Amino acid sequence: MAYDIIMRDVTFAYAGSRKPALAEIDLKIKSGEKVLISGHAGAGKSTLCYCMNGLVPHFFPGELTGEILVSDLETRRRSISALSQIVGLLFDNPVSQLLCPTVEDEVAFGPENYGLLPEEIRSRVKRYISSVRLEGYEARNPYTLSGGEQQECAVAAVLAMEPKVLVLDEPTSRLDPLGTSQVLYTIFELTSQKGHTLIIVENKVEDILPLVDRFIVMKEGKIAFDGKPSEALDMAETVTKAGIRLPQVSELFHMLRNRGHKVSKIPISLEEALTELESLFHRRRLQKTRPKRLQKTRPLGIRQESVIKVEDLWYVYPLSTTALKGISLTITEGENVAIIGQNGSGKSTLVKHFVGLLKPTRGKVLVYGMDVTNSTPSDLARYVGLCFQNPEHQLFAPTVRKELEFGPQNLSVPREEIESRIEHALTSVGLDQNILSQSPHDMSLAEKQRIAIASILTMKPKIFVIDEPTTGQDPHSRREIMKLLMKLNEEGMTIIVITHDLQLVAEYMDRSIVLRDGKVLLDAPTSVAFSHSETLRETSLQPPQITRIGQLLKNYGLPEDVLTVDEMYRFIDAKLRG
Amino acid sequence: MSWDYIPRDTFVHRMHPLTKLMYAFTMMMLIISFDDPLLLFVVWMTSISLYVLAKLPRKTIFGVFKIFIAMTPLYLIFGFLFYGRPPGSLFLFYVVPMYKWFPVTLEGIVWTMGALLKLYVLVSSIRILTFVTPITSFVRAGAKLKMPPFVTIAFSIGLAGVPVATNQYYAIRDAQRARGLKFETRNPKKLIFDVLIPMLLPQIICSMRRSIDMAKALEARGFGYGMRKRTYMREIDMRLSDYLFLATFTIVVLLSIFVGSWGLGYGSYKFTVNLIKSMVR
Repeated sequence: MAYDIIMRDVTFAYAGSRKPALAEIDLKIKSGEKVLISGHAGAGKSTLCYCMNGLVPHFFPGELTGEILVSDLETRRRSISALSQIVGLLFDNPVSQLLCPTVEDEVAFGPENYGLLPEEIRSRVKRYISSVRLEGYEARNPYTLSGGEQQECAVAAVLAMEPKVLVLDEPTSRLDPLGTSQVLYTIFELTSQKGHTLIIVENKVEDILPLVDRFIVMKEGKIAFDGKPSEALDMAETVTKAGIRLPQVSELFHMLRNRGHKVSKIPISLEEALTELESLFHRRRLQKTRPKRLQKTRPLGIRQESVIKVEDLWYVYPLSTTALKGISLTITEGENVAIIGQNGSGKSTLVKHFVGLLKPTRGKVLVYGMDVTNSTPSDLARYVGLCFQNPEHQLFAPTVRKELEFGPQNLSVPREEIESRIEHALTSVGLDQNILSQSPHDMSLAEKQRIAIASILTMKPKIFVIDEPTTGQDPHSRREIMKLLMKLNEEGMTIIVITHDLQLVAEYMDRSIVLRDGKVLLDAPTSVAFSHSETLRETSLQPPQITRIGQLLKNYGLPEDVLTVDEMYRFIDAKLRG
Repeated sequence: MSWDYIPRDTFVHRMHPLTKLMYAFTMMMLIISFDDPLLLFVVWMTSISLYVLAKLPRKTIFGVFKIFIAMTPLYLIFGFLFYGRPPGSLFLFYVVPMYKWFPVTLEGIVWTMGALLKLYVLVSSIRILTFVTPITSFVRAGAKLKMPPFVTIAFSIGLAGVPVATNQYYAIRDAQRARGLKFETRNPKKLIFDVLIPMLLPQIICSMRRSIDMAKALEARGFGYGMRKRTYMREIDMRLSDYLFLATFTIVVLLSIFVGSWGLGYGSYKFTVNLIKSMVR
């Protein structure tokens, strides 16, 4: 049996850290195997990838014990550039791995470094640009492409080096749904054609699990599970304890099995789940009936005062890109609203108007009756707090305390009140008081995100707008942030969330506004919006698996507007029990 | 200024990057050496003819000068003001006759026109480089001149990263403005501590993080594998026409230095002033 990667009893601690990032790893990956690696933030997934192409220990020094062989070469004795010919590594952030001024040069960069003949380089560039469907973009600056296209360009750049093994470190974590499906399709199609070994690190396992041969779950630097994806479904507890959320369909069938229903196997994909459910219904001799709608119990905001009123809003960027085309909507006090849509649909442009960072080209935006055209961001910051996607774009102070003081000081809040606001904000985001003297720059991404949220809360806004709060976070951190937002909503704050994560929208948000090409495509309670699957598909969005089950099996009387696994479980359980 | 390469198959596009750089240098030497508007107009027209030969859209040519044309009246007023009314000059009128403000002389008009044309020549000759040369051609030209790969690659990364740095700046500015930061202050202490630090520190931190990520990406893409054996997808060679242009430009530069320094009045705006005066007489 030929193995591309062999790790024997590998332990690694980064220089300056006592705690090992990897501990006692024994791993063998066969040629041509497709492996998915998951785990919570800090579980050691990226470190494992870095070991495979020599970044550990050559680029990231530290204490490495054990043996790592890549195509029988000991990584400690080979340079990264030599190992990169065998192991191509793709990083999570497309922007930070693009190096050249044009797409063509980007793809040529690797082969040029290996001194290949110009004709060979040109032929590879042509081949791989075409394989990721970027023909016509050769002369474009990669930084001006969309997120999905940037990652595809990076994929082509790695593939052009023709490595045996392709290691992808969270390649879709920063992409929108369209970009994600585009990149995954490309990767799996190309690696299957070429017979590459594929190692993919990803926390959103739902789309990938059905496509791989092997699933590895990491927890605190160790391998917690290593087996076939179907075996992982039977060991759901181990997997979920490691911070991984199984596909919704698998969760549903676990619940049904635990309730005593005869489930022959736990499905891994939507297709398997549909087949399994149909056979379950047949066994119970359930007849096809008319579809139902669930009685929603969630409150839809206090709905008293309109806090944001947008009337025929148009916005044209200086280079003549029309980002918003006649948007009209009203948001009332205490609502929690998701704004969803593909990259470039106008989500961020819209919310920047709420805090006066952009002024309407045409139309009107009123925030608590104030016309944003005549108000400054600092006037509006008293009412609307806007927290951006990347916390590092706002954190600058040497301590957390100073960071939290910054906003209220800009608003001339008295000193004593700032103290009480800091205390309240920290409690709200679940951080301890002793963190105040620490530097925010030394913290994890999840902690930085919380500090960024707290730094907005100290301004005591009535409306909290947050742009992509879950990007780059593991499933556990994602849920923690959403719970925090819901807690603020319960306290009366109006919450507006921009996100690509439709599963989180389904679970937490009452109302969804779907934007496409600068226009409102849908504006309805989330359950209603998600039941318009055809309309969502127009903007390449797909409701969560659990909602799609209801829509695809509506002939069995399943409701089309189910949003959570729990709701669907209760409905099916009741149905099966007659 | 952005790098807006417009691909076309013309001899201007095919010129070697070094020839193009030499052309821009020659134009600069001409505007340093001469201030006669007639001569500078001819130089400017030569420069515009390259836009036409390069088959660049009219919209592009107009776009280059749009802002400068809009600023021309203001530029002229400042020119007249700056030139003033030295003894011996031919006074024509006042811009504000009621108060006898801003005297305009024939010499002032000619000199200002010359200065304006210098600006037009400068802009047109540098801007055309970005339209007819991909950035990578300069990198390849650097490699051809045996510049070390780390220099050419650093240059290339720097140029390519401009949009990222710009987006990062705007993202940080928006994040701080959303927290109530006001940029308008005349107090220098406030400007440093309350405005510059919240803007600069995230910029530095994000840039450092990005540079680490890029270093990682460089290593992972084989950079440094065999520097001496590094090849390039396309190598650019000088052709006969390039050598001819280089020779012509060199002669023009030498002539401009000669005429500018010992030009016996040729190339100076006074040539046109005297010409107009003799025609009027």
